[in-house]
Amino acid sequence: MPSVPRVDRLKPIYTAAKALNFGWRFSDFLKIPAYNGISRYTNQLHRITVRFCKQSESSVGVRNFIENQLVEIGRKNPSVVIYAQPVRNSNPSIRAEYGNGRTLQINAKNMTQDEVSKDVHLLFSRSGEPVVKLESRQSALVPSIQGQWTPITWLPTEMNTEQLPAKQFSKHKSTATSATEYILQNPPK
Amino acid sequence: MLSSRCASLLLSSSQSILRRSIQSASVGTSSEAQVIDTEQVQKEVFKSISDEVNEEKRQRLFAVVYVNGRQWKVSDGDLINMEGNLPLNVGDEIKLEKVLMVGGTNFSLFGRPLLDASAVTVDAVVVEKKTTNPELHYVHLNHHQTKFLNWKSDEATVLRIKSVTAKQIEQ
Repeated sequence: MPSVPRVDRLKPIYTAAKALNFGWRFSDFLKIPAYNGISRYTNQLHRITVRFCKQSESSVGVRNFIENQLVEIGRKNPSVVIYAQPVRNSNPSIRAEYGNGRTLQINAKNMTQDEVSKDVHLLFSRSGEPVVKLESRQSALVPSIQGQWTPITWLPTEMNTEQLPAKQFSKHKSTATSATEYILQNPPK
Repeated sequence: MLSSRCASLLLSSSQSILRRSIQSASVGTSSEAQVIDTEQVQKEVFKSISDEVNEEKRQRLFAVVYVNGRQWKVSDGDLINMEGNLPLNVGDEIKLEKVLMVGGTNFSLFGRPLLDASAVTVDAVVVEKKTTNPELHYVHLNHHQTKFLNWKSDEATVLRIKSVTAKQIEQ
Protein backbone atom coordinates (compact mmCIF):
# COMPACT_ATOMS: atom_id res chain seq x y z
CA MET A 1 0.00 0.00 0.00
CA PRO A 2 1.30 3.47 -0.80
CA SER A 3 1.66 5.90 2.04
CA VAL A 4 -1.11 8.09 0.65
CA PRO A 5 -3.83 5.86 -0.83
CA ARG A 6 -5.47 7.18 -3.99
CA VAL A 7 -9.23 7.12 -3.80
CA ASP A 8 -10.09 9.32 -6.77
CA ARG A 9 -9.06 7.04 -9.60
CA LEU A 10 -11.54 8.64 -12.00
CA LYS A 11 -9.90 12.05 -11.79
CA PRO A 12 -6.93 11.40 -14.14
CA ILE A 13 -9.20 9.87 -16.78
CA TYR A 14 -11.67 12.72 -16.51
CA THR A 15 -8.92 15.32 -16.71
CA ALA A 16 -7.49 13.67 -19.80
CA ALA A 17 -10.94 13.43 -21.36
CA LYS A 18 -11.60 17.11 -20.75
CA ALA A 19 -8.32 17.99 -22.40
CA LEU A 20 -9.39 16.12 -25.50
CA ASN A 21 -12.47 18.35 -25.86
CA PHE A 22 -14.98 16.36 -27.92
CA GLY A 23 -12.54 14.03 -29.59
CA TRP A 24 -13.19 11.27 -27.06
CA ARG A 25 -16.90 11.14 -27.86
CA PHE A 26 -17.07 8.44 -30.51
CA SER A 27 -20.84 8.45 -30.99
CA ASP A 28 -23.47 11.08 -30.45
CA PHE A 29 -27.06 11.89 -31.26
CA LEU A 30 -28.08 13.87 -34.31
CA LYS A 31 -28.26 17.52 -33.37
CA ILE A 32 -28.00 20.97 -34.92
CA PRO A 33 -26.68 23.96 -32.96
CA ALA A 34 -29.11 26.63 -31.73
CA TYR A 35 -32.19 24.71 -32.98
CA ASN A 36 -31.49 25.91 -36.49
CA GLY A 37 -34.40 25.57 -38.86
CA ILE A 38 -37.15 25.67 -36.25
CA SER A 39 -38.26 29.14 -37.24
CA ARG A 40 -35.80 30.09 -39.99
CA TYR A 41 -32.62 28.69 -41.38
CA THR A 42 -29.55 30.70 -40.34
CA ASN A 43 -26.14 30.28 -41.89
CA GLN A 44 -23.82 28.87 -39.25
CA LEU A 45 -20.50 29.80 -40.85
CA HIS A 46 -19.15 33.08 -39.49
CA ARG A 47 -15.60 33.43 -40.79
CA ILE A 48 -13.29 31.87 -43.36
CA THR A 49 -9.55 32.49 -43.37
CA VAL A 50 -7.63 31.46 -46.48
CA ARG A 51 -3.90 31.29 -45.83
CA PHE A 52 -1.52 30.99 -48.74
CA CYS A 53 1.95 31.83 -50.04
CA LYS A 54 2.47 34.13 -52.99
CA GLN A 55 5.32 32.23 -54.59
CA SER A 56 5.36 28.59 -53.49
CA GLU A 57 4.20 25.79 -55.76
CA SER A 58 1.92 24.20 -53.18
CA SER A 59 -0.33 27.28 -53.11
CA VAL A 60 -1.07 27.42 -56.82
CA GLY A 61 -4.59 26.02 -56.42
CA VAL A 62 -5.43 28.34 -53.56
CA ARG A 63 -4.11 31.36 -55.45
CA ASN A 64 -6.16 30.44 -58.52
CA PHE A 65 -9.21 30.00 -56.31
CA ILE A 66 -8.69 33.41 -54.73
CA GLU A 67 -8.26 35.09 -58.09
CA ASN A 68 -11.27 33.49 -59.76
CA GLN A 69 -13.89 32.57 -57.17
CA LEU A 70 -13.32 34.11 -53.77
CA VAL A 71 -14.72 37.56 -54.58
CA GLU A 72 -17.86 36.06 -56.11
CA ILE A 73 -18.37 33.81 -53.09
CA GLY A 74 -17.99 36.77 -50.76
CA ARG A 75 -20.48 38.78 -52.76
CA LYS A 76 -23.03 35.96 -52.62
CA ASN A 77 -22.60 35.40 -48.88
CA PRO A 78 -22.54 38.79 -47.17
CA SER A 79 -22.92 37.31 -43.69
CA VAL A 80 -19.58 35.48 -43.85
CA VAL A 81 -16.31 37.27 -43.10
CA ILE A 82 -13.58 36.17 -45.51
CA TYR A 83 -9.88 36.77 -44.86
CA ALA A 84 -7.09 36.11 -47.34
CA GLN A 85 -3.72 36.05 -45.61
CA PRO A 86 -0.53 35.88 -47.68
CA VAL A 87 2.17 34.42 -45.45
CA ARG A 88 5.60 33.73 -46.86
CA ASN A 89 6.76 30.09 -47.03
CA SER A 90 3.62 28.74 -45.36
CA ASN A 91 1.46 25.76 -46.13
CA PRO A 92 -1.88 26.82 -47.63
CA SER A 93 -4.80 26.21 -45.30
CA ILE A 94 -8.48 27.09 -45.08
CA ARG A 95 -9.89 27.75 -41.64
CA ALA A 96 -13.60 28.08 -40.91
CA GLU A 97 -15.18 29.37 -37.71
CA TYR A 98 -18.78 28.56 -36.85
CA GLY A 99 -21.48 29.99 -34.68
CA ASN A 100 -21.14 27.39 -31.95
CA GLY A 101 -17.50 28.29 -31.47
CA ARG A 102 -15.88 25.41 -33.28
CA THR A 103 -13.11 25.82 -35.82
CA LEU A 104 -12.45 23.60 -38.81
CA GLN A 105 -9.17 23.68 -40.67
CA ILE A 106 -8.31 22.04 -43.98
CA ASN A 107 -4.76 21.63 -45.22
CA ALA A 108 -4.89 22.76 -48.86
CA LYS A 109 -1.34 21.85 -49.82
CA ASN A 110 -0.92 20.96 -53.51
CA MET A 111 -4.66 21.17 -54.09
CA THR A 112 -6.10 22.19 -57.43
CA GLN A 113 -8.62 24.97 -57.78
CA ASP A 114 -11.52 22.53 -58.13
CA GLU A 115 -10.56 20.70 -54.97
CA VAL A 116 -10.25 23.95 -53.05
CA SER A 117 -13.64 25.06 -54.37
CA LYS A 118 -15.23 21.78 -53.31
CA ASP A 119 -13.77 22.01 -49.82
CA VAL A 120 -14.90 25.61 -49.41
CA HIS A 121 -18.38 24.56 -50.47
CA LEU A 122 -18.27 21.83 -47.82
CA LEU A 123 -17.21 24.36 -45.19
CA PHE A 124 -20.15 26.58 -46.14
CA SER A 125 -22.55 23.65 -45.88
CA ARG A 126 -21.39 22.45 -42.48
CA SER A 127 -22.96 23.52 -39.23
CA GLY A 128 -19.99 23.25 -36.91
CA GLU A 129 -20.99 20.00 -35.27
CA PRO A 130 -18.22 17.40 -35.28
CA VAL A 131 -18.53 14.41 -37.57
CA VAL A 132 -19.17 11.50 -35.21
CA LYS A 133 -20.91 8.18 -35.51
CA LEU A 134 -24.61 8.72 -35.05
CA GLU A 135 -26.51 6.75 -32.44
CA SER A 136 -29.59 7.12 -34.60
CA ARG A 137 -30.19 8.80 -37.92
CA GLN A 138 -33.19 10.59 -36.45
CA SER A 139 -33.87 12.71 -33.41
CA ALA A 140 -37.18 14.09 -32.24
CA LEU A 141 -38.24 16.95 -30.00
CA VAL A 142 -41.25 14.94 -28.81
CA PRO A 143 -40.59 11.19 -28.79
CA SER A 144 -44.21 10.08 -29.13
CA ILE A 145 -47.51 11.77 -29.86
CA GLN A 146 -49.93 8.99 -28.99
CA GLY A 147 -47.94 7.67 -26.05
CA GLN A 148 -46.71 4.21 -25.26
CA TRP A 149 -49.06 1.25 -25.37
CA THR A 150 -49.82 -0.36 -22.02
CA PRO A 151 -51.95 -3.44 -21.26
CA ILE A 152 -54.73 -1.16 -20.08
CA THR A 153 -54.79 0.88 -23.30
CA TRP A 154 -58.02 0.54 -25.27
CA LEU A 155 -59.72 -1.37 -22.49
CA PRO A 156 -63.47 -0.70 -22.16
CA THR A 157 -64.36 1.73 -19.39
CA GLU A 158 -67.18 -0.51 -18.13
CA MET A 159 -64.55 -2.61 -16.38
CA ASN A 160 -64.17 0.12 -13.77
CA THR A 161 -67.60 -0.50 -12.28
CA GLU A 162 -67.98 -4.23 -12.93
CA GLN A 163 -67.07 -6.88 -10.41
CA LEU A 164 -64.31 -8.95 -12.01
CA PRO A 165 -64.16 -11.65 -13.30
CA ALA A 166 -67.13 -11.01 -15.58
CA LYS A 167 -68.23 -13.20 -18.43
CA GLN A 168 -68.72 -10.38 -20.93
CA PHE A 169 -65.09 -9.28 -20.69
CA SER A 170 -63.70 -12.80 -21.04
CA LYS A 171 -65.62 -13.61 -24.16
CA HIS A 172 -63.47 -14.73 -27.05
CA LYS A 173 -63.89 -12.46 -30.07
CA SER A 174 -63.74 -13.91 -33.54
CA THR A 175 -65.06 -13.08 -36.99
CA ALA A 176 -65.31 -16.70 -38.10
CA THR A 177 -68.62 -18.53 -37.72
CA SER A 178 -68.36 -21.28 -35.13
CA ALA A 179 -70.21 -24.59 -35.38
CA THR A 180 -72.64 -23.60 -32.63
CA GLU A 181 -73.56 -20.39 -34.43
CA TYR A 182 -73.97 -22.29 -37.69
CA ILE A 183 -76.37 -24.80 -36.13
CA LEU A 184 -78.30 -22.02 -34.49
CA GLN A 185 -78.62 -20.19 -37.79
CA ASN A 186 -79.48 -23.35 -39.76
CA PRO A 187 -81.52 -25.57 -37.41
CA PRO A 188 -81.83 -29.21 -38.55
CA LYS A 189 -85.18 -30.18 -39.91
CA MET B 1 -59.24 10.02 -52.53
CA LEU B 2 -59.07 10.35 -48.78
CA SER B 3 -62.79 10.25 -48.08
CA SER B 4 -63.39 7.13 -50.15
CA ARG B 5 -60.55 5.32 -48.39
CA CYS B 6 -61.91 6.25 -44.97
CA ALA B 7 -65.40 5.30 -46.12
CA SER B 8 -64.22 1.85 -47.15
CA LEU B 9 -62.53 1.39 -43.78
CA LEU B 10 -65.71 2.40 -42.01
CA LEU B 11 -67.79 0.10 -44.17
CA SER B 12 -65.70 -2.93 -43.29
CA SER B 13 -65.81 -2.18 -39.57
CA SER B 14 -69.54 -1.49 -39.55
CA GLN B 15 -70.21 -4.66 -41.51
CA SER B 16 -68.44 -6.73 -38.87
CA ILE B 17 -70.46 -5.01 -36.14
CA LEU B 18 -73.68 -5.71 -38.00
CA ARG B 19 -72.70 -9.32 -38.54
CA ARG B 20 -72.13 -9.87 -34.84
CA SER B 21 -75.46 -8.28 -33.96
CA ILE B 22 -77.30 -10.45 -36.50
CA GLN B 23 -75.69 -13.59 -35.10
CA SER B 24 -76.79 -12.70 -31.60
CA ALA B 25 -80.34 -12.12 -32.82
CA SER B 26 -80.35 -15.58 -34.47
CA VAL B 27 -82.59 -14.48 -37.31
CA GLY B 28 -81.85 -14.96 -40.99
CA THR B 29 -78.40 -15.71 -42.37
CA SER B 30 -75.27 -13.71 -43.09
CA SER B 31 -76.24 -13.45 -46.75
CA GLU B 32 -79.21 -11.31 -45.71
CA ALA B 33 -77.04 -8.83 -43.81
CA GLN B 34 -77.84 -5.16 -44.32
CA VAL B 35 -75.78 -2.04 -43.76
CA ILE B 36 -77.55 0.24 -41.26
CA ASP B 37 -76.69 3.79 -40.24
CA THR B 38 -73.43 3.89 -42.19
CA GLU B 39 -73.93 7.49 -43.25
CA GLN B 40 -74.34 8.66 -39.68
CA VAL B 41 -71.24 6.80 -38.46
CA GLN B 42 -69.21 8.21 -41.34
CA LYS B 43 -70.33 11.74 -40.61
CA GLU B 44 -69.50 11.43 -36.93
CA VAL B 45 -66.01 10.06 -37.59
CA PHE B 46 -65.24 12.65 -40.24
CA LYS B 47 -66.48 15.43 -38.00
CA SER B 48 -64.36 14.30 -35.05
CA ILE B 49 -61.24 14.01 -37.21
CA SER B 50 -61.91 17.44 -38.72
CA ASP B 51 -62.17 18.85 -35.21
CA GLU B 52 -58.84 17.24 -34.32
CA VAL B 53 -56.97 18.69 -37.28
CA ASN B 54 -58.53 22.12 -36.90
CA GLU B 55 -55.86 24.81 -37.07
CA GLU B 56 -57.29 26.73 -34.13
CA LYS B 57 -56.74 23.72 -31.89
CA ARG B 58 -53.00 23.66 -32.71
CA GLN B 59 -52.64 19.93 -32.31
CA ARG B 60 -49.23 18.37 -32.80
CA LEU B 61 -49.40 15.86 -35.60
CA PHE B 62 -46.97 13.18 -36.67
CA ALA B 63 -46.56 11.61 -40.09
CA VAL B 64 -44.83 8.62 -41.61
CA VAL B 65 -43.05 9.72 -44.77
CA TYR B 66 -41.04 7.76 -47.31
CA VAL B 67 -37.85 9.52 -48.33
CA ASN B 68 -34.27 8.45 -49.07
CA GLY B 69 -35.22 4.81 -49.38
CA ARG B 70 -36.92 4.29 -46.04
CA GLN B 71 -39.79 5.39 -43.83
CA TRP B 72 -39.47 8.01 -41.12
CA LYS B 73 -41.88 8.91 -38.36
CA VAL B 74 -41.62 12.68 -38.17
CA SER B 75 -43.22 15.49 -36.25
CA ASP B 76 -42.61 19.22 -35.88
CA GLY B 77 -38.98 20.03 -35.17
CA ASP B 78 -37.50 16.60 -35.89
CA LEU B 79 -34.11 16.01 -37.49
CA ILE B 80 -33.47 13.41 -40.20
CA ASN B 81 -30.05 12.37 -41.47
CA MET B 82 -30.28 11.34 -45.12
CA GLU B 83 -27.32 9.66 -46.80
CA GLY B 84 -26.09 9.79 -50.35
CA ASN B 85 -25.50 12.52 -52.87
CA LEU B 86 -28.74 14.50 -52.90
CA PRO B 87 -29.24 17.54 -55.16
CA LEU B 88 -30.06 19.86 -52.27
CA ASN B 89 -28.41 22.98 -50.87
CA VAL B 90 -28.41 24.24 -47.32
CA GLY B 91 -31.36 26.52 -46.74
CA ASP B 92 -33.59 24.85 -49.34
CA GLU B 93 -37.17 24.35 -48.23
CA ILE B 94 -38.71 21.17 -49.57
CA LYS B 95 -42.04 19.40 -49.26
CA LEU B 96 -42.13 15.67 -48.55
CA GLU B 97 -44.91 14.24 -50.67
CA LYS B 98 -44.87 10.48 -50.04
CA VAL B 99 -46.90 10.53 -46.85
CA LEU B 100 -48.01 7.06 -45.80
CA MET B 101 -49.76 7.96 -42.55
CA VAL B 102 -50.69 10.95 -40.46
CA GLY B 103 -51.92 10.92 -36.89
CA GLY B 104 -52.54 12.96 -33.80
CA THR B 105 -53.29 12.29 -30.18
CA ASN B 106 -56.69 10.73 -30.78
CA PHE B 107 -56.72 9.59 -34.41
CA SER B 108 -54.68 7.99 -37.19
CA LEU B 109 -55.19 8.19 -40.94
CA PHE B 110 -53.61 5.55 -43.16
CA GLY B 111 -52.99 5.89 -46.86
CA ARG B 112 -53.39 3.14 -49.43
CA PRO B 113 -50.52 3.29 -50.01
CA LEU B 114 -50.17 7.10 -49.91
CA LEU B 115 -52.33 9.87 -48.56
CA ASP B 116 -53.51 12.58 -50.90
CA ALA B 117 -50.93 15.32 -51.38
CA SER B 118 -53.57 18.03 -51.01
CA ALA B 119 -54.73 16.74 -47.63
CA VAL B 120 -51.42 16.35 -45.76
CA THR B 121 -48.43 18.69 -45.97
CA VAL B 122 -44.98 17.93 -44.55
CA ASP B 123 -42.53 20.82 -44.91
CA ALA B 124 -38.81 20.52 -44.26
CA VAL B 125 -35.67 22.63 -44.59
CA VAL B 126 -32.10 21.50 -45.26
CA VAL B 127 -29.95 22.62 -42.33
CA GLU B 128 -26.64 20.88 -43.01
CA LYS B 129 -24.68 18.97 -45.60
CA LYS B 130 -21.69 17.07 -44.30
CA THR B 131 -19.89 13.75 -44.49
CA THR B 132 -20.65 10.67 -42.46
CA ASN B 133 -18.25 9.21 -39.94
CA PRO B 134 -15.53 7.22 -41.75
CA GLU B 135 -16.10 3.48 -41.51
CA LEU B 136 -13.39 0.88 -41.99
CA HIS B 137 -13.67 -1.35 -45.04
CA TYR B 138 -11.04 -4.11 -44.74
CA VAL B 139 -10.52 -6.85 -47.31
CA HIS B 140 -8.06 -9.68 -46.70
CA LEU B 141 -7.57 -12.32 -49.39
CA ASN B 142 -6.29 -15.38 -47.61
CA HIS B 143 -3.19 -17.12 -49.05
CA HIS B 144 -2.79 -14.36 -51.60
CA GLN B 145 -0.76 -11.81 -49.62
CA THR B 146 -3.39 -9.20 -50.43
CA LYS B 147 -4.99 -6.74 -48.03
CA PHE B 148 -7.05 -3.64 -48.70
CA LEU B 149 -7.79 -1.14 -45.96
CA ASN B 150 -10.08 1.76 -46.89
CA TRP B 151 -11.89 4.34 -44.82
CA LYS B 152 -15.26 4.97 -46.44
CA SER B 153 -17.27 8.12 -45.87
CA ASP B 154 -20.54 9.04 -47.54
CA GLU B 155 -22.32 12.34 -47.98
CA ALA B 156 -25.02 13.22 -45.48
CA THR B 157 -27.84 15.74 -45.56
CA VAL B 158 -29.59 16.81 -42.37
CA LEU B 159 -33.23 17.79 -42.73
CA ARG B 160 -35.32 19.70 -40.22
CA ILE B 161 -39.06 19.02 -40.33
CA LYS B 162 -40.76 22.38 -40.05
CA SER B 163 -44.43 21.49 -39.92
CA VAL B 164 -46.84 18.61 -40.34
CA THR B 165 -50.31 19.89 -41.19
CA ALA B 166 -53.51 18.24 -42.36
CA LYS B 167 -56.52 19.92 -43.87
CA GLN B 168 -60.06 19.32 -42.71
CA ILE B 169 -61.22 16.30 -44.63
CA GLU B 170 -64.64 16.14 -46.28
CA GLN B 171 -66.82 13.09 -46.58
